[in-house]
Amino acid sequence: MSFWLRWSWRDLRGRLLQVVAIAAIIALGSGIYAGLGSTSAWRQQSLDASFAGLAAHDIEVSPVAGFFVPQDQLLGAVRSAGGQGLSTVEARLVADLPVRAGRGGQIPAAGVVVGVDLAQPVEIDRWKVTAGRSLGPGDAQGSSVLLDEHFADAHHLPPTGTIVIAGTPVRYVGTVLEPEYLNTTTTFGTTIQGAATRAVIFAPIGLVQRLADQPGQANDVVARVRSGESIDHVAATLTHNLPITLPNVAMTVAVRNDDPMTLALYDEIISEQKIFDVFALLILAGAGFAAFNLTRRVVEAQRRDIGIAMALGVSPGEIAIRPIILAAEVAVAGVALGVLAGWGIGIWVLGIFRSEVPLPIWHTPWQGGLFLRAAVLGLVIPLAGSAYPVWRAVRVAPTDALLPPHLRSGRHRGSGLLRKLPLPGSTMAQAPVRRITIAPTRSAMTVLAIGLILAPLLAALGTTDSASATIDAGTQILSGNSADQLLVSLTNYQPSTAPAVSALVDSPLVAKYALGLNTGGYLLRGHTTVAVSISMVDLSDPLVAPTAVARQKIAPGGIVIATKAAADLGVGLGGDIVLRHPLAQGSGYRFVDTVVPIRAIVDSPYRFVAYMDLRDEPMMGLSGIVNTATLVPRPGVSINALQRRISLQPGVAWALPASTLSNTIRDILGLVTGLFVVLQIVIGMLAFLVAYNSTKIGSDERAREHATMMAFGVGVPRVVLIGVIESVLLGVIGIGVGLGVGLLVLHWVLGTVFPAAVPELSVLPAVAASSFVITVVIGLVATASAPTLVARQLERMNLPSTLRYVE
Amino acid sequence: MAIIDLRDVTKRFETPAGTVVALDRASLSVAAAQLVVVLGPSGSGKTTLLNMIGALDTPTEGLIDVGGKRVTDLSRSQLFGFRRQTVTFIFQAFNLFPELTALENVRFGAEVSGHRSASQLAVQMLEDVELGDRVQHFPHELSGGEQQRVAIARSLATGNPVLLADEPTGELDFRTGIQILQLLRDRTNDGKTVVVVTHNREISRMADLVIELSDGHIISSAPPSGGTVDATELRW
Ligand SMILES: Nc1ncnc2c1ncn2[C@@H]1O[C@H](COP(=O)(O)OP(=O)(O)O)[C@@H](O)[C@H]1O
Ligand SMILES: [Mg+2]
Repeated sequence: MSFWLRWSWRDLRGRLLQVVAIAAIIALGSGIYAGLGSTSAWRQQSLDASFAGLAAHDIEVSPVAGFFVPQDQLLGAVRSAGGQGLSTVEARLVADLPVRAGRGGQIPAAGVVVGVDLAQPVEIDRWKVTAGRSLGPGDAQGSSVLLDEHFADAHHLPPTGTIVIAGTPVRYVGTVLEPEYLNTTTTFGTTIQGAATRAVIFAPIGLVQRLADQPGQANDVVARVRSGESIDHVAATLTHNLPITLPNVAMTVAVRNDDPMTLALYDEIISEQKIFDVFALLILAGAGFAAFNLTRRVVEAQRRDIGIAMALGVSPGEIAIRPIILAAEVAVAGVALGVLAGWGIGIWVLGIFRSEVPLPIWHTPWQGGLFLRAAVLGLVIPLAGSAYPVWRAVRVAPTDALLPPHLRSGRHRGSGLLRKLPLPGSTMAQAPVRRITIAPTRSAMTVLAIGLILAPLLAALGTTDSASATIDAGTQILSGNSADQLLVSLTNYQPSTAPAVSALVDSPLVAKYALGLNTGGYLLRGHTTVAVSISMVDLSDPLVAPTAVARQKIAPGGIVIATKAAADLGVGLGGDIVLRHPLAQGSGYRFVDTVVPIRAIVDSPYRFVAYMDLRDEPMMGLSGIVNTATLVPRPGVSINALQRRISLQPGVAWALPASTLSNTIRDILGLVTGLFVVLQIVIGMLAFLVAYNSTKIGSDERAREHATMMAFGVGVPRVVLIGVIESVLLGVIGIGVGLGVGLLVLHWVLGTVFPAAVPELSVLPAVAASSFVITVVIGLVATASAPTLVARQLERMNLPSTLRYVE
Repeated sequence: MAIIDLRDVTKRFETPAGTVVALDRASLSVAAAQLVVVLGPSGSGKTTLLNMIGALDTPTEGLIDVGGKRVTDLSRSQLFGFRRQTVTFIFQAFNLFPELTALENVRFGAEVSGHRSASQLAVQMLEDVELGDRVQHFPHELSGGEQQRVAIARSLATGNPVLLADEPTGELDFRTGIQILQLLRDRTNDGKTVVVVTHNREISRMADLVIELSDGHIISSAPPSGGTVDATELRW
């Protein structure tokens, strides 16, 4: 036993680099799995910690949009309606006002200005200051404000500066994160707003009352429930009591835990995790396969020793000791390095999230369970890789085992082929092809390993390409080829004849306009419910209706839905669907179900897109009411000039060029792009390691041939070149396999994983030329550079002793 | 003028267990087109001597001239050129390329030293060693003697003037050994200088010059005492 151990110790010293290099493959594979997995766990725990740490509200009470209640009356009504169940309540005035930021105010945005009572310390939805300073009691009467970090970061704004709210310049003294506004993505009609177009501003309530021209008023109450009380119970009590304590105003009571904006934050992590898992597992599988093969080859190189031992009558159990110790070394090194790699990748990916999806509080404990799972794989793979060849070796005749690996019977399948296949060029020029064809199984394994490692890279890049192409297509379908338009949202529902509306459409800068009403609803069929954002417009007007729909002159009394929604609901053109929509009643509204026919299906990638004709407004109890306008500037008037003018009109919540909104999704994709850089680097390293190990093992086996070449005066560069060409040839085939498998994976991800993870988006496969190029280049660079590393070994080779002994 | 000339060549190997003097101030001179047999017991320094002449290894001290080149002054890349153009090895272990056929192994020799129409030359060389009918065989499909003949053909295909053979018959039976030696002898008629290393005293009888080594020292350097005999007269 100690004899075998001593021998193994010598093995290790001789093969340390090899052991580490194979271990590194296992490490990267399991590291990416553990690292990406950790990030998701960290993000969920950080969200929890952020909500808890900044005392996020439990319940939010607000009147129907556009209604205001005197601040003290609102607060008092909620307090008495909630009774003992509430611990803290704070009143706010939230106003949608157009905002301009940046130097010269050149960045238009939809402002959400949150007025907070600073007279008392803020105890609910507190701010986490990321730069500059916070607001305190001293600011209660002042005009200093705070700017949401998401918006500031999207435009690289300084920590303090000036921001123009509805035409009034105010000073922001810091940037903050606040638990209620961590989700920056909202849909509005057929558009999506994100961090770049939605500026949340926190201000003293007095300032907001002045800016919104609502002196003394509030429209929002946030409340925390006394500990031990059931939030849902308190919410129900509020819903029951509010009509008594605050008659004449319809109030909504919302529980934060059920809030779609909050849930979306968690859902996003889960769906991203699903996509990560697919890629991490694919990489792990590729790395595992490669490590298995390489361990097998290293152990097979010991078969000569195994043959001798067998000839001397050593028992198979003892024979297995040395290869298994080697495998154990790979496994232990792999797991140790894997923990490091997982930790490093986790930190790296977390860094990307911290900057792209900032959270006020980060909680990032060690994910032991995940690492344990990755470690088990890291242990099993090399042990399996060594067990297989030993098991095979003890079954063959010792004489066969004594041959060098590539000459053993059954491994010489390529020789017959070689004899028949006349290759052009000198024997040296042919060498790479010969080496590949002489051992077809081994070559195929290497090709497969490289292919499996590169496949997830192409699939990952293709996923971003597809999403990006989908967005382009979507923008194209929704807005046609028309020049940029100004989308205007009104602060309230307005009769289309109201002065605020006329002021917009009669502006001398406007050439064409269309009015509309945006509202939310649900499509229901069987057990499927699809949330939609309904744009009520003149469906025959190509300015606001999709071009294909406008051409059809659709009759009123129906709905236009997106292809994805139709597919998910299993309905087609002309079919009926249940529409759950708001119906205005008094000062509020309630949801009712109406069966409507599907008049058209629009090829939008966004499932939430839906259109109805303005003439169907009576269905909602909102005849002649609008809340949105689409404006086209007169020739010679820039969209920017129009935006500046319109955003100063009273009653305008925001006015944004359609083009800025279509950039929102691209911003969201920026995060994914950052993450895929991690994948590119890890996969590049893996491809290199596979190529390196494969060349190194090959070069060890061919030491005698290389020495003979050098004895005949063939220079080291020439010998290295053979290795490079061999590796690149295998690499090229491997890249081909990688591209093919990558495309299959992409189709599978977009066909099954994506729809489950991101049901709102229908993404069709599209791969940009650049993604093919990146995959090919990474594959080529890795396979071409790896063999050059054995040059040093060749330079220092002891020719006489390599040539002397018979193997 | 001597084609091989060694002056006071010493080779020391530094090992963890101490210094081994494999060759101690060895001097010798070999004229062109001679068959030289280097004789000595195992461990006496024969292979070391041969490797010095073939520039596979460099001496610790001393001067070596081969084919008019001062080998000990050549740079690393010049040494590669020297091995391509001046010397050529025939190994005890054959060291054929296992993935090349007999013909291709020989073609390799012709190609490295820059011959055009290497294929034709290779066929010619294989016929010269009487392997014209085995050109498409891979080394593992050939017997030891056949493999050694392929190795000789490969060396001859280089056209280089100095052939260095380290125990070329060591792996072979008697009859095959004689065949090989006869082949080498014949090369001297074509003007090649052949150095054969062996521990078999009988073989030295066919040499033009016998260099006897003991413990790293050249103890004699002279024609065989009984005169040069034909390979067919050897017995062991
Ligand atoms: N690379 C080496 N390192 C250490 N000692 C060596 C080395 N090569 C040869 N020797 C030693 O040099 C001596 C001569 O070796 P060698 O020339 O191979 O002898 P021969 O060929 O006559 O059997 C021997 O004692 C051998 O052990
Ligand atoms: Mg020797």
